[in-house]
Amino acid sequence: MSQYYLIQDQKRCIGCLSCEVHCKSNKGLPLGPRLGQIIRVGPKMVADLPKQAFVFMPCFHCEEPWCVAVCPTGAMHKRPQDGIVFVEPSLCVGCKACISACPWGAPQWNPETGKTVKCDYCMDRVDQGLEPACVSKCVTHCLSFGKADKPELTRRERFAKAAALEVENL
Amino acid sequence: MPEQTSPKADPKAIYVAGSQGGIYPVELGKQTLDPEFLGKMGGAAIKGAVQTLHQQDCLVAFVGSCLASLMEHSKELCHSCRSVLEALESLLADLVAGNADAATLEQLGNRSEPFKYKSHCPALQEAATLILSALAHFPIEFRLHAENKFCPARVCPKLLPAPCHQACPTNIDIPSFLSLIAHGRHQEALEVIRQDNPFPWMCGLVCPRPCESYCVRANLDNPLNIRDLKAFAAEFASNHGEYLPLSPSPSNGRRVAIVGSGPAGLSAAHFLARKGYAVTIFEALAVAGGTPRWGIPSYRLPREILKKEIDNIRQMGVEIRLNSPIGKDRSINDLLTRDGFEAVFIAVGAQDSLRLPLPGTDAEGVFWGVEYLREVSLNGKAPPIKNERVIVIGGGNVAIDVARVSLRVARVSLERGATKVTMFCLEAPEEMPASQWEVDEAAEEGIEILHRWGVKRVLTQSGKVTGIELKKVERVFDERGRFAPTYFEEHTIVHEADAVIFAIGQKANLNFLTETDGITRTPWGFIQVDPQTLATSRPGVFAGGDAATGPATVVKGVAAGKQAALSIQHFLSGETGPVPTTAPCKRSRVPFLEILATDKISTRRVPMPALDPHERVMDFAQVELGYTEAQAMREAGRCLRCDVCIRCGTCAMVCRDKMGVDALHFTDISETERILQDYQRPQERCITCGACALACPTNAIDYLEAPDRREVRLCGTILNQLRTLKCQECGGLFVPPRYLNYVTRRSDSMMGKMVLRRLCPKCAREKRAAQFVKF
Repeated sequence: MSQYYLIQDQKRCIGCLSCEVHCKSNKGLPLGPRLGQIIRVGPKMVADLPKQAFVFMPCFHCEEPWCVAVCPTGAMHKRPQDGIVFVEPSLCVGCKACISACPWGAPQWNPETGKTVKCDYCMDRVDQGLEPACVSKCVTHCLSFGKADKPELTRRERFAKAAALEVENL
Repeated sequence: MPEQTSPKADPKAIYVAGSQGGIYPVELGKQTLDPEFLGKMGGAAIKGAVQTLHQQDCLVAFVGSCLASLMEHSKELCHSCRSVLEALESLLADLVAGNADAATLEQLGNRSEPFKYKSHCPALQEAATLILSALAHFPIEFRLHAENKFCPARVCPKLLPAPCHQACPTNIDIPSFLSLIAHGRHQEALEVIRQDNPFPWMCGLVCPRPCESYCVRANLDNPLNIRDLKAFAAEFASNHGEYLPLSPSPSNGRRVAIVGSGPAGLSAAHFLARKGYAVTIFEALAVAGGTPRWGIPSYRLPREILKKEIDNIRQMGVEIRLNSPIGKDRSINDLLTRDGFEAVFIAVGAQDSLRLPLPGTDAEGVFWGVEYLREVSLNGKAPPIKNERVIVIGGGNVAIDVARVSLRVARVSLERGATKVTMFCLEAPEEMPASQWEVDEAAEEGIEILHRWGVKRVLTQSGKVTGIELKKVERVFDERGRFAPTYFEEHTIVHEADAVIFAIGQKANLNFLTETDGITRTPWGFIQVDPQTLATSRPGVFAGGDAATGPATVVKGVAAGKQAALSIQHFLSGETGPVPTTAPCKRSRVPFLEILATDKISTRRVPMPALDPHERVMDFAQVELGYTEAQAMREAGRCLRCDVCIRCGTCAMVCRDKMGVDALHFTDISETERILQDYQRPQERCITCGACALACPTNAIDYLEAPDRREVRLCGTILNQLRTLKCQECGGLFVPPRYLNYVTRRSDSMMGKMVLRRLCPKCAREKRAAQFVKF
């Protein structure tokens, strides 16, 4: 797991997709790839009331990432200092193995470059002390980003456990 | 900046870095590069790197890489300067990728010009000076990139013509016309050929196929039958009434005289007429066509085919004056000074036989090769060989023609007589200059060829030939490969004969040249020309074909005509600078023919149907019957498309070294060339990841994701096809089992964490997102 957390307060999210727009424009991405994606769940009837939720699905920057293991060229790797998983484009040959390997469907295909592209927590921004593009422009402030030594850590761990459990049940 | 390499390379240019540097021809660089000199050349004082560029360095690609590194290293570029640099770089990228035309070059110059003296931005000024100096000093290299889609340094991968295309003396875009035939677009195939060679049909019947010996497919089974497919395209178009003359450009009123209506003369006339010149051909004989008309027997080249192609040239406005020899009444000098022609191209061929000063060669019954052929062709009657045994001396194609013609002439006059034709040549079978298929066809017809014998003397009795005495050859070529035969003088045989025909070479008859013409000859009696530009010692007079080179082939004559047209245009335009020379030109990028690998490689060269040898020697009917449409398409479909796949092996490297799959196995066929021979392997190992297609520098590989399958194709040949699994959620495209196996083997198995993979990545994301919601 990376040293950072990026969590979403589902209750506050209105599904405006500002996060996706800013992610795309920050990375200069064409039609197709959605690095951090808002997934709409529902609407469905819960206790006679229609309910709908929006889930923000970025890359989870796994402790032991499938994408890094599967990548035959070493293009996909983990930053040793903070655990951010990212693609080095010059090494990527476009075999898409990472896309098939990731249980979360996080790595995305960039048809313009013929290479994989994925959420790297906007590490260039993070290194300058800024937040990832999606977080900085979140209209409802439902996204939050920070170092994992902050109090939210427990929440993040719970999230990670859920994720791990999920994987086993796939 | 790219480092320069090979020390043995031939330098061509000097690169001077810096905002006032540039690229200059190496001849100029031999002077001191002082500020005064550079100023004269359009540059200025220099500070920085100086680098030699060689023949194998592409200046267009080099300028492009300089611009890229300028942009990379100039951190303080303002937005507007950067956007100009980006635009210039993209124009250069178009040139390198073959997406450019003449307008691109103009834009490149125009957009650079304003920044040449504007020094507010050193990077931009450096780029502009670099581009402008390169354009000024190496216009041909840039023009070839733009107009011919050809990189003369053979650096740009997309501008590398196929080996056959480069081997053809007339640079026919062979892969393009073959693929058009394979697609059934025969008329377009003919037009592709005609852009480079006005004689598709004639060359399709008589060319010695230099292209086929470079055919890459020869490393798989046999080369493509390129020659006969040319003839097919012409024949098909002709049968469908569509072999029409090309349209000339509007006349520019400038007159050019051509001496001789052989392949070289007619080809020059064709290309000049295409550019609007008024061409007059002077032909000494009563028929047009030169050697193909009277020297090539009609069983190889029917007269009406030649006539058709000459008529097409005539209809472009070329005047052919028959019975108009150049000589006393009309010298070359007269053409230029009296008759109003501005340039002359001499293409009179080499039409006299070389004669051996041997005892007995003046006897009755001794004949000389080309004179004999001319007699048979033009007068329709044979010299009187009424007897049974003919001996032909010589090992070239003319000797074979003479032997086969004498066989037919004797049969015709003897009405199925039992004439015996024997050939003696100096060379061993593998050394013979004659084309192998000609030798085979002669052998089929019952002509006996005896090797390594030279003539000692002709035996005569009361002035008539009775036989020939031959001596054994010791060697034909000396240590340096030059023709210098030696003999065992004592080892002789005698062979009885009623006629002996010598076909041992030809010489040019240049008696029509006068003192005032001022045209120099070579020591071997041909016209002295510049081998590149075909210019003679007299300005405005050019010469080519056999008259300049010595006896060669039809296709070389056509090529000489093509070059003469370029040189004459350059001469008449008054342009300074180097004379352009003929170069390959990519005429089209024909779509690939989709075909299964097994079909592609199992199709063998389709044999050319021919008349039965026993029947065909009875008359002069055409021996080769030509392909049917189905045969032609089948044969053309064998082409490996070396115009696109440059056999660099990048795909194989990615597959093996990056992916670790090793499904593409290229076999080295020379130091620089490799070929895919193992088509089984991709079907067994390829996981259809598509990395090869992305790595290919010329887009030769297609990677397809269809709803039910993934496919990898090399130049249209389906290397591998895998059915995909369906996503359990959406039913859409997932991945093939073999690919999934590759993924799990490398991830789950390595990490010891199994993931059940039944969903496509998109559904996986959505499904799993839903589980994070607790309503």
